[in-house]
Amino acid sequence: MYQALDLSIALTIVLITAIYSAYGIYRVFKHSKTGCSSGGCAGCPCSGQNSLQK
Amino acid sequence: MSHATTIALAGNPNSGKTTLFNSITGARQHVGNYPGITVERKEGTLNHQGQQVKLIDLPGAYSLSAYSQEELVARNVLVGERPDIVVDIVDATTLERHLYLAIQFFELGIPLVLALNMMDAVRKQGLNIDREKLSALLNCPVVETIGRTGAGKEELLTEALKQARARDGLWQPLQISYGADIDQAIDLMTCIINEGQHLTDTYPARWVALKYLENDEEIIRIGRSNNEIAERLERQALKTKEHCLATLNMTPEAIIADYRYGMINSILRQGVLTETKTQEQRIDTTAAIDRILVNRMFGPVIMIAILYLMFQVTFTLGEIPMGWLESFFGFLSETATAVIPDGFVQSLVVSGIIDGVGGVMGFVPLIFIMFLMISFLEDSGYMARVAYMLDRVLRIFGLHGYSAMPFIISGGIAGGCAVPGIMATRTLRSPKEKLATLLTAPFMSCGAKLPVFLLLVAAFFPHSQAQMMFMITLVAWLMALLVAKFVRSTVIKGESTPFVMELPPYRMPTLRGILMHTWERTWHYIRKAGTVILAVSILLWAAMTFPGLPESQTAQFAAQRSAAETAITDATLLEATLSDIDNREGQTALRHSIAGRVGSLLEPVSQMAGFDWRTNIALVGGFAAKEVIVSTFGTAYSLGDVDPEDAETLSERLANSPDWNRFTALAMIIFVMLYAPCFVTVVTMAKESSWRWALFATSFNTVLGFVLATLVYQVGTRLFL
Repeated sequence: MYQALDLSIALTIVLITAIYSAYGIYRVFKHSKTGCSSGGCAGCPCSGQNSLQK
Repeated sequence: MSHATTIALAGNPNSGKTTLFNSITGARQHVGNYPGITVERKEGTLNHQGQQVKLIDLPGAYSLSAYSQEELVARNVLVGERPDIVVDIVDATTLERHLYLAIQFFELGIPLVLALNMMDAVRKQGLNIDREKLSALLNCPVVETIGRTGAGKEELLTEALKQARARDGLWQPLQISYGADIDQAIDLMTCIINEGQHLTDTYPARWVALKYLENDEEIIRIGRSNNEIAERLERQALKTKEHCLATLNMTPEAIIADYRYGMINSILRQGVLTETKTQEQRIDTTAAIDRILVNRMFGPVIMIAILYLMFQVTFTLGEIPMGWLESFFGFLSETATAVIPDGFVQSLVVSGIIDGVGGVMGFVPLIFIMFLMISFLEDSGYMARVAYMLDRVLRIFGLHGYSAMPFIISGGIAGGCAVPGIMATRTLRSPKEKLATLLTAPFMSCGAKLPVFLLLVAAFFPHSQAQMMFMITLVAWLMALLVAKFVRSTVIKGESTPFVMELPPYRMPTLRGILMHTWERTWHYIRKAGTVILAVSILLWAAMTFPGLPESQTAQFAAQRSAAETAITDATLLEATLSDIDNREGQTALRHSIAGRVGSLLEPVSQMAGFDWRTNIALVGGFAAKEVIVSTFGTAYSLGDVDPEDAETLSERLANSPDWNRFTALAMIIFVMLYAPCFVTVVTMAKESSWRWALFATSFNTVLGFVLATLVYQVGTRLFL
């Protein structure tokens, strides 16, 4: 019983991560059409775009 | 609620637009003391005296001609979006040169406020600018600002909003006389343009005529949608050019530029710019420092010494906090093992997350110290000198002086990122030089490759870490230059274009500025470890765990354990034997996993360079992000090593592994330096050039990296082991 639960928790985490990663790849392609390629790169002048509020 | 007033910040590169933008909006856009930092527009919103304001930070532009992509981006935003007001940020220490852009704004007719930035430096130089007089002569408000401290920003905003209300979107183009020949041609062409309503829905007619005479490629291209008028205008422009060349031996572009500078000079001579100190009293610190730092002989020596010193300081200072972090992640691993019951979740948390992400996070202290020093060099203005000195070398290899900055941003002094580096190639006007630069910039030691190099250097060259990192940086430059020479002599042949670079004055960086930039970069590194690297680590853990060993093989290992327990009576020997069986089972399971099979599939080829199947998994994962190489090693060696009490660090595990030696590490360093850039970089490359060139870079770099890595490994192991 515990082994099945253990496996399903691990697989759920992997599945959520896979979906998150697929979304991340989609975002890179989407942003590449509008200018910034990703955001979050060390030293990248694009990071922080569209999140500015005094 | 009234609509937001749009203010665009424009100006020459390195005039302090982004610093002022950050100061006004409270944002943290990256700022450096060298031209070309902003290659895209940035936006921010704020509320000033009850009025909503949308602020746009435009890329730096020397002119409104479509010479480079930044200039085109700036022009398209100004013309396409018609901001309510444009604030032209002028570096007041070089007023004459910076007013050139302002004159073009006036010619376009755009509502303008002039911000005389860096007024503190002006006063230090013993100069005085009469802003009232300047304002009167230009017929536009002039405000004094100091971007670094934020002085004058409130007055600037107030004046900009006032002017925006007064002009109410009305464009009033200024007409400058360019002498009889050009004026006559402009009048004639303006008539043709007005008659045919040629581009007049977007631009003033006289301005379009000027652009035809200046041979503006973008305007000519757009204009060709109306063939008949475009033909007439192009014919007239050509006729005027031939006439000017015949009579004055100058092109219309040069004449137009001369007249603009003439106008600026006449403004400045009317008592706008005066010196408060005599020439003898004036101490030009920048020139004095440059006499040494950019000296033909001492300059390069000092540059190399600074680079070497930077690595030495990084390792000396970073060693202790790195040890703390390693102990912290070791403690986390042990705690998780004790708290979570044995099984998949425990393996995921310990081997996948803690050992994977922890491997990357362990380098935060070194990265922080390195970024601290790089920020100082950038903010002081030294980086621009590095680019200037490198120009002479770059030319030999078919590159351009402007190629230096993309290389440096990509990690030329270690710790950058190829994505903004490739975007910075937009400053290159020659498409061929741009292509050669963007194909080779990813060779530099970006922030993601650093932990891989640091790991291997710490494991195999513990007594000469700084020297090794220094050598890696030099080899990366050498490879970039050689490959650039190769592509410029074969697939992208072409002439070199001349280079003019403006050297910004030296400025004493503020502690706040340096800390802010260092923290920004370090935070991005940490954030990437907590998002991208975490996600890839989890996925690679799954790929390295499933499908698991078949029952028959598990039973075999269980039988071996039972046999050992029955046959061995000595407790110590039994423990060692059981541990050995566990390790073998772990290794077999890893090799049987999806990732293990992929790694094994590549092994017959990769072994030529000394890479085993686990290294192959790491290198394939490195395409997502180069830090993944470290996190995958963390997971792979953790899954293979099932003893949780064993608190070896990853570098110790690699150093003690029989599959590794110094030459495997060297081959790995060469391969990681050169092979396919990460996925995001490839997409950026495709965007800046084409998918064809992005795929060329991916495959060519990988083949080149592998050939050289094989050479290093084979020669090294045969001659020295």
